[in-house]
Amino acid sequence: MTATAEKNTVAPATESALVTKQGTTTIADTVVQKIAGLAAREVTGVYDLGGGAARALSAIRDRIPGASASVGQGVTVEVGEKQAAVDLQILVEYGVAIADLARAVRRNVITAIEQMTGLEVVEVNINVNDVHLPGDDDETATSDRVR
Amino acid sequence: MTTVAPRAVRRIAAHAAREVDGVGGDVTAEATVDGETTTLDVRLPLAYPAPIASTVERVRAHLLGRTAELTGLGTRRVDITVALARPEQPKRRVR
Repeated sequence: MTATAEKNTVAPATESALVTKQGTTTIADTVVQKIAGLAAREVTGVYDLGGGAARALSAIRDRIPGASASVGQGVTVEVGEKQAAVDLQILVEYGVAIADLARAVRRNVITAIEQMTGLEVVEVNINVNDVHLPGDDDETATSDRVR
Repeated sequence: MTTVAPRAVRRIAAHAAREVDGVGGDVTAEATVDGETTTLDVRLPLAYPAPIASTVERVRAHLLGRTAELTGLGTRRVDITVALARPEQPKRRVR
């Protein structure tokens, strides 16, 4: 009880968009995770998100009717009261400059989260774990079957 | 912080090496990523009539520029091993 009482008296001093005198707004991790996932995918040059295992699982999930691919795949977030930190695992297209791409992804993710949730994004760490080469078009093989 | 996995660097380097004229086939690359820099070890199959020294130089120059450009990592050195200099299939004299 004393802990919450202390919190309530401390909170108004550092008021923000989410923490107000009239109450606090909490945003679930999954919300931030999905926003980050969608924002990262918007950037041209990002082929997919997630590590090998996550991507293999999502390939299976794609074949199950009614199941949707996970938007939050490859995204790990840490959400506090007013701040959020994001870690991304991305797969890039061959031919893009990774440094430029990372800058674009970071900017897009930060803008999307800050605009939508009001959380301040303290960091976005990006790990490029693989590259998609023009040759390994495994997905065109399946789409080529029906014309 | 942006990190690039060695697997990604390796595949970028192998693909970039194939962009050089006269290089084809199974180029394999190993990449050692150390912070912001990378060292490449490329195994390059060359066909028999190709001038090895000049091709290797062109591949090295191309990789130094291209992997740095694509990965954003400084590329310190590129070690190249010329693998199997197998002669091209002789043309058949008769059809």
